[in-house]
Amino acid sequence: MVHCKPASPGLMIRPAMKVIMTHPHKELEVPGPTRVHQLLQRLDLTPEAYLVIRGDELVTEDTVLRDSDSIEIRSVISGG
Amino acid sequence: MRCRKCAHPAVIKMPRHNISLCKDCFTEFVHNQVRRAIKAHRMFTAEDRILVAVSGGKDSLTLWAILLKLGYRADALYVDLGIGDYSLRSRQKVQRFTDTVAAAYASNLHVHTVEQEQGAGIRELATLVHRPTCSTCGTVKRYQFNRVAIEQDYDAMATGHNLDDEAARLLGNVLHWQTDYLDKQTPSLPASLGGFAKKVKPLYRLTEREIAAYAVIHHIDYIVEECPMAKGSKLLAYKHALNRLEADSPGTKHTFYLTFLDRQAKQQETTGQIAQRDQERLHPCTTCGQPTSTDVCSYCQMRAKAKAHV
Repeated sequence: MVHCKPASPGLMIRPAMKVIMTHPHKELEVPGPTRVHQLLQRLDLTPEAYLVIRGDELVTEDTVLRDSDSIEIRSVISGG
Repeated sequence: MRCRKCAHPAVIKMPRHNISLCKDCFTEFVHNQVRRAIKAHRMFTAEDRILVAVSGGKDSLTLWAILLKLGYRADALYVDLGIGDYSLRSRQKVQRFTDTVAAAYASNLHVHTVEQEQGAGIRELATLVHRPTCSTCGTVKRYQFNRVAIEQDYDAMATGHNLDDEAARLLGNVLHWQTDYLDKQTPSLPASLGGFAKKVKPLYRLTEREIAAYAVIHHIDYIVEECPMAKGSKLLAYKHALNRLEADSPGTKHTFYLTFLDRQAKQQETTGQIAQRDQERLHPCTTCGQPTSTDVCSYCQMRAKAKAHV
């Protein structure tokens, strides 16, 4: 079920999950529900280069992410 | 998704092994890969004293954590490069890990501060000697890690280089046919002559993603942001290219680097031959005594140039 809250009379804003990306830092709002692999695909990110963390737990590519989730997409590539 | 081994909920899928694992089974997998690397290349024994080169990043702190968990006698050295807030934050991460994890194993942290010795941070130093920052940083780190390992009598110096680092470096060396570098791209370099510490890379069988996953699972608080000096580096470009290949064909990085090591083991010179070649080519630096192929080593040359300007 999708929860909506009224923003102003007659206008409904659909809530979305908060997604934080690290280096470079970016904050996004993405509508759920969506699976982890779909989220990465939508953002054009290579799964091998990122971890997806919900709260402080790692999640696998088939996990369904919901609007109430706070998600971190962490780049794992380092080194110069 | 369920763990292939025990059916508990999986936390990571590893397409290159066609397997998904839960926290406990993944931890065991990582430990086994490190044990296998140490054994295969005779890196060190349980009695040896190891100096881990730590930066505050995921690889080096995870390496230190794993070696301690596996029962090795591992201390660490942090080189403070003086790169503004980045160095401050990375040093805090290292200190925090030392206090909260390493202290319980009676493990020690050594710190070398570039600014204290050189009178300038790494960026200013690079400008003074007209060299790229990353190259200057490499020279300083290699020199200081080797110096501390020798002076404090460690049996081996361990770095957090992983499969992605090694595959990317191999790709770069092959693209430019730098065959001299290929010869020395091995997870274990012997202490070929006096003044050189043995150098080992126990994480070479693990990808960056696996190491980062281990750090998250075990609450290792590392500096997530990249060194600001690394922006635009070729190594990062090679890593991105390899990850795109890996996405289409899982196992590409593993096969590329580990097959190279297999071929190298069959064809290449033995440890004794590397030592013999180094003995013919290298001699003590006239200033500091560390091995070098020139009269004065590159570190001392750099130091002299910097001193003339500071």
